Amino acid sequence: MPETEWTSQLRRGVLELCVLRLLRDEPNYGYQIVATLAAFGPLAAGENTLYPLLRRLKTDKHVETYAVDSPNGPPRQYFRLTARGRQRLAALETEWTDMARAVERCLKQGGAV
Amino acid sequence: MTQHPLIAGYMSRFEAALKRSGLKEWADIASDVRSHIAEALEHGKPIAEVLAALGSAEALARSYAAELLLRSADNSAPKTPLGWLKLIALVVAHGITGPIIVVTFGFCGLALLGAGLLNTGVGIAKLFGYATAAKVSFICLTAECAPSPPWQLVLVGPFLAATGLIFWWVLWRYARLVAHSLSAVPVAPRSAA
Repeated sequence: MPETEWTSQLRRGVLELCVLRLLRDEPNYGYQIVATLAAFGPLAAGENTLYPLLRRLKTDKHVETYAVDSPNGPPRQYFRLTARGRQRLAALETEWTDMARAVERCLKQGGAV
Repeated sequence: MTQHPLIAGYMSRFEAALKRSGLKEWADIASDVRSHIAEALEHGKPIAEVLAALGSAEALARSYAAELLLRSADNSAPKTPLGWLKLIALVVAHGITGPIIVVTFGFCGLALLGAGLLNTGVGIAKLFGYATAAKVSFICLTAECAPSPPWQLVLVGPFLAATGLIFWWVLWRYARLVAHSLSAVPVAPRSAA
């Protein structure tokens, strides 16, 4: 089923949470992060969404970058969580859980109080 | 290291679009994107596919601009002195002082520029023997002053004009500061292009 604009907006909302979560496990570089997200179906975001997001996370100091020499080619830019990034992830995880529960409740019981 | 012409073309369009969007860190962003392209090429992706995945250079620049200019990290108080300055600029722009600054610097700048050009013109005319009776009235405060020598006008003129230009430059920087603050503060939700 082709994706709607709504799904795309929803993904844009949660992408930061998911990227931070992926980086909590281990640092990674841009191309690999895109590839990892691709395994999560609707979460798969294109490069033109992900790279600007990574840039913003860096500007906000939730991630930091460092260079790692690569076998054939220029050094790779790796991203890793900062302490501030870990706090941000924890906060977003809580907010996500609250939101998801609220949505489920709303879908289940509708207007019945 | 030679660069593939497709990549060079893409990057030059990308950098131009980034600059147009007003992002100060455009050179850093371009360097990031080059690095991402290199990562994909290293994994064996064909150049055409790598560039296609990025989308058009203009669209990618818009994505960066939307991500970096429309949102701030936490919707809380400014954290740096510059942040506070921006917030004050935003408040001023919506208050009475904004128009006062614009009118003052704008009109004074215009007047100074005009006076400067006039003085320089008259000074040069004097060198050719015209306008011999003219004098710089604010240097010469009494009516008995002799007509100003040409060198005085030719000196004063550019100085006035330069001051006028400086006033306009101040006005321009102020306008940019306000515009930048307006775009950096999240006012209403906008959908990213």
